[in-house]
Amino acid sequence: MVLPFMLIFIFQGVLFYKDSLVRKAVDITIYEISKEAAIRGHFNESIYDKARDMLINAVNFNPSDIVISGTETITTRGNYLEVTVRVPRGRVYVFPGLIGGGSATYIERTKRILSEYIP
Amino acid sequence: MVEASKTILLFLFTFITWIFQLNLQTDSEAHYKLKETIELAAHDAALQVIPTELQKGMIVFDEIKALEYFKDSMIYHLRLRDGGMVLHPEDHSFYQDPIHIVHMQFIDHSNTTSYPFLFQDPTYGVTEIVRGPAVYFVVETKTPRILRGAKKDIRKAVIYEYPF
Repeated sequence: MVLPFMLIFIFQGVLFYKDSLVRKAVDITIYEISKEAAIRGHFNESIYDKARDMLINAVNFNPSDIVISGTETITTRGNYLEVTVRVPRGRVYVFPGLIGGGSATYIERTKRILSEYIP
Repeated sequence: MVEASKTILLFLFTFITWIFQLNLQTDSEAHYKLKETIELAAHDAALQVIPTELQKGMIVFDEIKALEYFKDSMIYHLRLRDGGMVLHPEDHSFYQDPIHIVHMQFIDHSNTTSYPFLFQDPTYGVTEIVRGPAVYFVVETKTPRILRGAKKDIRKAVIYEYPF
């Protein structure tokens, strides 16, 4: 009876901490690529690759699990560029069947920035 | 009985430590999220210049549009609701308290002709070398709490130069 509680108290904090670090890695990555895309006026494969590298180095994701999509058409200064990054979330709760079973199985972030690009 | 008391005390201690850790994580997240968001928002605001002045070779910010774009970006990224200089959190926002835009300043060719210069704001303890026309915003809010604990004040400032 005590064992499940013991496991929750020992590991739950660590799992929350790991989850917060993964979210932070995604936030930093999407921020960095948004700034770069604003200068170039669009998102492209080289920017996506940079994002994938950052996430793989930080969290050791499988490259095929990282889904990135953004505004790929050339966008001139003053118009919005948008990008979405989606990665698997991993385990957040010790016993998901007991607590937190309904939590999202992925982390998804969307950012929007004005383009600086002048043709 | 003694063993049971010890176990309960251990659980209690672990639980308190757990809350403490959760609050530290939330504080850290609240700080970097706000800083990143105001950086993006200031970027959008810094692009709002008056076209007729630009044609004369002068960079003068359109202050109304700049504030509007700054707030739009904050509202979009943090799930907020517009309330003038106060942005209120929506139901699913990470923040639980309103975000106040406590200061905004536009450094451009209408008030500063010589660049670079050392910008200093003793009120908020900001010192930065400004190399060209820039927007300056200061925002304040409180750290959210998931379970319990005292909320802490956060203040973040951003200076963003006009991107040439």
